[in-house]
Amino acid sequence: MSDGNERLRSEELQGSWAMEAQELLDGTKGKEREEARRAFGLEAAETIRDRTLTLFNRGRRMPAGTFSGVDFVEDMRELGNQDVAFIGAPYDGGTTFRPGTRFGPSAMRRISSSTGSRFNPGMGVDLTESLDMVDVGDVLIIPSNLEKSFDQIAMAVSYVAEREIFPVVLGGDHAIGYPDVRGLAPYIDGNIGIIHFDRHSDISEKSMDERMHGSPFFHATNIPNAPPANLVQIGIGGWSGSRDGLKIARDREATVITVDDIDRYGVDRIIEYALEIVWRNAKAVWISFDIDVTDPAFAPGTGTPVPGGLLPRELLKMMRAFGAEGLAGMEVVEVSPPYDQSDITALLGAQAILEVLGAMVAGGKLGRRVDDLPERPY
Amino acid sequence: MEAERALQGTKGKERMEAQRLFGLPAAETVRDRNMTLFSRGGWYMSPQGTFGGVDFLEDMRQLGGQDVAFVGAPYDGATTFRPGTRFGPDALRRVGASWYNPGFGVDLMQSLSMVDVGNIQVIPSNLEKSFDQIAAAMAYIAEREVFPVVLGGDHAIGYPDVRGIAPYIDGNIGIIHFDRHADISEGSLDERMHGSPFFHATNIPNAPPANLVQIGIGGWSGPQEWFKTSRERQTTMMTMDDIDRYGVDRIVEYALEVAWRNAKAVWVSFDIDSLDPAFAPGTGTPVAGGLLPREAFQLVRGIAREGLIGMELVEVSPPYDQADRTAMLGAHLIRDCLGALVAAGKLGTQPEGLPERPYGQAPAPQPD
Repeated sequence: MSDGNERLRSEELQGSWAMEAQELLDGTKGKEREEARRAFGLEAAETIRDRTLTLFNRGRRMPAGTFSGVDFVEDMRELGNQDVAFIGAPYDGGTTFRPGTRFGPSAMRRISSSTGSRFNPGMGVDLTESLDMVDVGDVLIIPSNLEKSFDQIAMAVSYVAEREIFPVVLGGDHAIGYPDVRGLAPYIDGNIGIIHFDRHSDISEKSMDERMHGSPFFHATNIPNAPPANLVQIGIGGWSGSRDGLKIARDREATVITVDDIDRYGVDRIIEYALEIVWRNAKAVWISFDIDVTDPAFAPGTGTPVPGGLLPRELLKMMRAFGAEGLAGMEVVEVSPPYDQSDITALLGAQAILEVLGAMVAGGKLGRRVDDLPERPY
Repeated sequence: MEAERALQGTKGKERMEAQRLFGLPAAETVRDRNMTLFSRGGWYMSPQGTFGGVDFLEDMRQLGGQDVAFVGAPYDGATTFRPGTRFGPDALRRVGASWYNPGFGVDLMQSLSMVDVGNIQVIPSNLEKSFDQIAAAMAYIAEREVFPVVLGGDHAIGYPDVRGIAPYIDGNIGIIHFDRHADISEGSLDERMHGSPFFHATNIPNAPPANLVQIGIGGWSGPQEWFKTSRERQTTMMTMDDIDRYGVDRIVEYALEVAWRNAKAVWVSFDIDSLDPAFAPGTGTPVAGGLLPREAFQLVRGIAREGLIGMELVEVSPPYDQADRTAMLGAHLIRDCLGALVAAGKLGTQPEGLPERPYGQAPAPQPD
């Protein structure tokens, strides 16, 4: 022991002792758990160098809880025969302003299992009765590498699509819009139409040298069976846009519908027009719902808000109409909990998902309908 | 869409050309050659104001002759929990504080010529490209012999910061690292995230692990791997319990002895999460039981009195902060460090004719 005035020696430090002690700690339990989980989570994409990492995250910081309290599929080798799979893609490396969407999946899971139900009186649907839904947890994201994360996300969506299960992807920032379609496309026997709700056109080739959240639809519509002629973008506008993006939309002949268009023509005519275009020569339709299409009052918890967006009533009416015609899958992106207020953004995202699923059930496009419903007034 | 085609204008282009010159060419791995090394005019992470209201150096070709450059590295792609440190540089700039410290007897505006060079253009979704940018920017500043104060950003930048300056040190660099986390694993989640900077920094030939001193480590956080690597590389680790037991003065003395052994220069890496979350709530991976501000100030002042080659202040995450308190603490720590350097005659102009001090602030005798 040294007295108060002598120089310290290395042996007197607890830090030195800690390093020695670490070698002697037993770690068999930890190792066994890790190996089991690695099997459950499936092998990662090829571009992941650390082969102890998995495709679906079954390791640290797994989501606590599931979307709407449905069952969790721990062992992904057992996936099959379900109607719907909720998949978390907690990626926010593609954000150009506020990050935080990595917490979007957890927030939507948490709010949907704490409040609300799966019964919608106006639609006459009880999802518990009509659908077999599971939560497969999160794709294992590589936070600081966009392309690797894309490879993981595409592979995960493919895994679900291959088993003919309806994927609901919980984002994550909008960059995931591209790998989501990339993963789905090979399993659609024909063209995919995309209905894209957003204030931003998100169709530039790159920003800041990478395919960030301003780029998904440039790359998605490069996929051979996801042609830009079937891309319908609803809600674009405000002081937020990229001129490059609009130029590309023009060159590729995508369809852009602004908020002013909705005000002028009304929701019903917009729905009709959108359905006509998105389904033209297409076998399936995918919805990409960026929560920031709604006004920041309804969705404050988002990375790049733009005033003047849709009202939830307008949005949900449109989503129900699109759902009723049948869909191949959907994503909800850009919910950023650190900026949310009382979970209302996460709640809107979660509710939109339930409404789309309900519309698909009521339209006979997914799951089992309850027959003998009385005639509707309208 | 048709209207966009018809919009004219050369103003935007002209401004972009000028800014490209001011910001210097980007690192080679950045494919878009419109991007620059120091961010000038882009909308991503443009600095809001300057640190302490010092002058902004718009044209980077004019760097040289100043004592201190504040440089932002707004990167948070390497956070493993809460992101948000990309806003750290702005928060550190924004908080008010003066340049005069009565206890030191210094007015830094008098003693130092300081500029703010804005933010390094990082690539948010690509860690290695961001590293290339940060290292190139640090090399640019080191080559001009200006003392860099790096405003982080997450702790992954700790590696490219040292990688950038190392070639300009004619000998070994010691690193004094304040943190609750040892941050010395090879990688996590397949990349060199913020748990890895000191694994890679101490692979640099003239930044040997024998000269790495880590202060404040502890708590229930971090993989066992850190302690294995530390043991193998024989770094020096002082836990919070060590600080409690031995006291700040003896910790400082030992840290300086180890960091300076056979070294020509010492670099400080200060992770704001080394302070208890009550004082630094605005951070990505808080750990209970860390330093008190007064301990942190005393440690930093003590460490600085022998002279430093530069410093970084990392992991301030404004979305989690409360009334900018974390940023304020970071800004004060930076000033304490600069103040100690000036008072010890290690940087800038030392004030003359001051009365004798009752205690403290005197430079220690050089270690043997």
